[in-house]
Amino acid sequence: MMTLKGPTMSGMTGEAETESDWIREAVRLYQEPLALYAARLTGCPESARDAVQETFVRLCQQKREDVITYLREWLFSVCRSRALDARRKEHHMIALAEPDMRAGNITLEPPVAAERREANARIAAQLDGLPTNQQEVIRLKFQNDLSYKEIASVTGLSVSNVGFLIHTGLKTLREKMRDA
Amino acid sequence: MTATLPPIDDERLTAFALNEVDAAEGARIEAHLTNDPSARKTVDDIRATAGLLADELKQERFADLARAKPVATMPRVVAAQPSRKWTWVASAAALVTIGLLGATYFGNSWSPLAKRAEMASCMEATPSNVSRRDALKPEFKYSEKEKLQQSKEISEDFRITQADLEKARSQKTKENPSTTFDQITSSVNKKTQADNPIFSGYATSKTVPSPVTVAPVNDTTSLNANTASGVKIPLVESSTFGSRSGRGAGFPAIILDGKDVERVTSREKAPPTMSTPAKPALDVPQGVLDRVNLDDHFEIVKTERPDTKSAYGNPDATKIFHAVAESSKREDKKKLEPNIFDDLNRVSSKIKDADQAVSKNGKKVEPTHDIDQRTTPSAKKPDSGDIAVITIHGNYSKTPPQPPIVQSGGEAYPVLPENEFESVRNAPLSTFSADVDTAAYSNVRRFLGQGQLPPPEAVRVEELINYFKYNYTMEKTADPFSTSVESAACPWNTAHRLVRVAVKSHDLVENKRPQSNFVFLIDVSGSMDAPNRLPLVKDGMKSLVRRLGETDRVAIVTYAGESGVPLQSTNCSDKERILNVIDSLQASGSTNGGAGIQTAYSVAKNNFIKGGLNRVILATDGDFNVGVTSPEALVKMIENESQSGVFLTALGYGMGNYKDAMLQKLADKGHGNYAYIDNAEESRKALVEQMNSTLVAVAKDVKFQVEFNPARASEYRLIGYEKRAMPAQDFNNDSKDAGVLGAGHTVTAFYEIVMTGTRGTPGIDGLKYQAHPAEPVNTDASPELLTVKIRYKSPEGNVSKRLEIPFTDKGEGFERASSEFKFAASVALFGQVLRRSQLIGNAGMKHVIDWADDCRGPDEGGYRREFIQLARKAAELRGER
Repeated sequence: MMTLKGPTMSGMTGEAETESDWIREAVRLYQEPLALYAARLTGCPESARDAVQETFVRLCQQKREDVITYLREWLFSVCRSRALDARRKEHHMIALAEPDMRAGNITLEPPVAAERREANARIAAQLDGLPTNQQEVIRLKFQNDLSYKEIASVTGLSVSNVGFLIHTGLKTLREKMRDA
Repeated sequence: MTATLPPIDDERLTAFALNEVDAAEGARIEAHLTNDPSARKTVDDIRATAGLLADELKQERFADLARAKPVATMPRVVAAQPSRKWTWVASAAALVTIGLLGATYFGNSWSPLAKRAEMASCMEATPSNVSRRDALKPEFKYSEKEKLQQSKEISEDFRITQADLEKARSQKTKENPSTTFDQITSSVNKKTQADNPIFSGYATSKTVPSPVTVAPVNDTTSLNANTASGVKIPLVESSTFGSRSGRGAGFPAIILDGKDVERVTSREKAPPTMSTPAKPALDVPQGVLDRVNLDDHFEIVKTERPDTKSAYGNPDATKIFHAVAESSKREDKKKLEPNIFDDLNRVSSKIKDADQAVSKNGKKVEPTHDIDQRTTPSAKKPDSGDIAVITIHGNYSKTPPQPPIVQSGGEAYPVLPENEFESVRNAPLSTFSADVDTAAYSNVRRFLGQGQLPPPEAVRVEELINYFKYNYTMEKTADPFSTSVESAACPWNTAHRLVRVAVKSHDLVENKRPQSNFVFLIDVSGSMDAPNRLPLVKDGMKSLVRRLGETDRVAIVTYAGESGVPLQSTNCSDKERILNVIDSLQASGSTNGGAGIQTAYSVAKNNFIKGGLNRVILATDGDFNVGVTSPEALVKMIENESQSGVFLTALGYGMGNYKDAMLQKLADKGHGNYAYIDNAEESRKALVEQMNSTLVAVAKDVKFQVEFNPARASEYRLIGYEKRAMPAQDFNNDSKDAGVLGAGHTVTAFYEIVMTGTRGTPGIDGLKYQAHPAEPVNTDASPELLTVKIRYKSPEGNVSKRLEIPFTDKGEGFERASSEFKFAASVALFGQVLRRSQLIGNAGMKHVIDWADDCRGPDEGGYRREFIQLARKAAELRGER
């Protein structure tokens, strides 16, 4: 009797689906996560919205059967390139460094300043102290529940790179939490 | 064996902890862990960190980010900040308005792609015959007299928005991007006037800047091409925008066909509009505007205007919206051309008779919620079409520029419009399933506790009402429950009657309670290590164990990285030991729900008590990390296990009901029940006070059907139970499932009734094409107001039993009603106020508090006291004084 739609794509394979439904559902489910993700990449809410907008416009050009099975990956990866484009174009932000996607380049940044210590009791606040590429994969993993494999496909990294970044990031976070 | 495999280094452990290894690898690492306690600890730590991280990240909201720049260095904002609401107010209005305006003005210049997109988000689950164009071109007029400052701010937002829209458009048309809002508006107006001179009077009215008005003329060119009959412009006078009584109601504007022009003032006509069967079509814009319009927002605006003009008015979302709206129109045009006139007439006539709630075609229009609830016959789909249009706005109102509703971790609530008044003549039967869920109350309490009003769709009135215990005067019967019907003047509309229908199952006498065999399955993963999780579980368990009899048995199974059985099934004569084990439970490590559940069921089966209560009681934060078991397999397993007679109770602890759906599904399949728990009292309530009722079903498939006597009642509405409505024919159909009634449960339902011969506010028009069944209400007819029919099955039975309880209204005033009646009515009002019901007049939290305060009764457990506190909190948040 109850029709509780969980935030999963399983809701999108129902029999009552129409041509348009899947896009509507995709917008509903992913607008917010994509905007959050893009905002982190661009550092700017406006261009994040742009990126999300463009992502969905592009989605409309796709055939459902072409993308539906890996919709989430598709959306994040398109949104990502839109966001990175936007960031290249607009230099109005103190940019995050262009994520260096090679695992070898990880550097651990110094702990965040002392005045932010209190806020840092929250682990998510600690995230900001991580290198951006670690932040990104960690957000994809824990905010959006993407698997290593999906993250690899979104970011263009190899699965083992993703594993390394997440591992390193988590390790740093655990240390910070211990010290906090 | 490990020769060709990668070494188990830290990175592998992380992957393992996050379930990113395959089954074979997982087994290999698991084996390794049993010999390496420090690696085990590492894995546990990783999982704990991951749990925390996921919890916190999932509470992030784009709206929070957008407030601060630069994003990257911004401290996280999680808690509700009232000042945000204002921005939302502006942005919601701006977006909707501009979206509609844009759709109009740019008409065909928007790219086909965008049109496709728009179409996409426009359509409802069922393709309908109704032309999108008919449905609702709401005209919003944002006027808030007292707060000019705000209006100014909003018009600024509009400018931004407009510039952006222009920018988007210039990608295609290279038009001057500096077109101002005024220019746009006047173009629209000119266009409108040109197309239909009738509109000129309205269209020229100043639309900017301060109370910003937008007349979304829908795609006039295409309309003309198709119908050549003119433009439909909804016009709404917005004098009451922001006033308490007119809250949002008038926005869904009138849709005009052909040459008709209608003007509606939201104050006068809006509530009736909302009560027409066409309401679904109006629902979402209303939602948007509710947020815009809410008093509480304005209160906040007054006191706490943010210093930055945020980018919420940014139209990107609007663009999506616009795109979406546009393409849907196009698509529909293609599909639906032949029906355009029919649809037009039908829709407009429905909506036009704004204060008369009957569609002219004489057919009863299905309430919207049916669409979710039932297999709607295709013949009725046109009505669902109306809904579809709205859906855009609904999505829209929930998307990036998010209203200040914090929905933790992607909570999704099904949106069911509130039940409308039904004509007794057209629909003499009201049928619904019993509902003893109470999760909505805890959820509402959580929101209020966080200083936020709950999203209206999260408020299920019946769950709020049924949360409380009521000491109704009941006649003892041979059935497993008693019924009670009481009536009084409806307190929020004294011209109406309020009838309460209640059933209460008999409490099990303590010594007659069957022997219990409980297996607690406790999630002790790292994520449970929070004050509102494991400690609450332990507290509740201890309270329960103290109450169990010596012949009852308790076992404890835990699961985290591995499942364990800290307490084999133990007789309650050794309570000390049981309590000690409970005390020793600690959270750490990861979650592997699958294995724990298997263990718990096998313990339960090994200690099965024939004729007793055999239950697995699962306590978790829902963070199931099922390892190699897929969620489907887990559900399947529980379904199989329930055949053995071991049932499942699922208790969800902690913030957010993100995982609600999963737990609910498990409980459903496990013949069990589910409760969401957010504080210690709730934990005790779930585990102790309601022990009997939660665990002992006395009747199943409990259905209600109320038949109204047209000689006495002309209209009625069922308050709440939207989710539980059933088609009348399902009442006698034993194959249709319905709710379970546990021992000690009370189910209360209220009907608001318009008596025959009185003029009800939302009146219903007579039928035009169908002879009125020779009117003369038979005054000799039965004096009864209604008859309650109940069907139920015994917990093991397959054939239902039917009860019938006639009821005659004695015409009591509300003051003379029983205190239980009054308290329940105040809870009903509380829920309706939070749902932003259109049908409760000016009633507010003040009334809730007044009535409830008088009827606290003995209030064991202090639930009523807490309720009054919640109502005060809500009053404050709503800006009620």
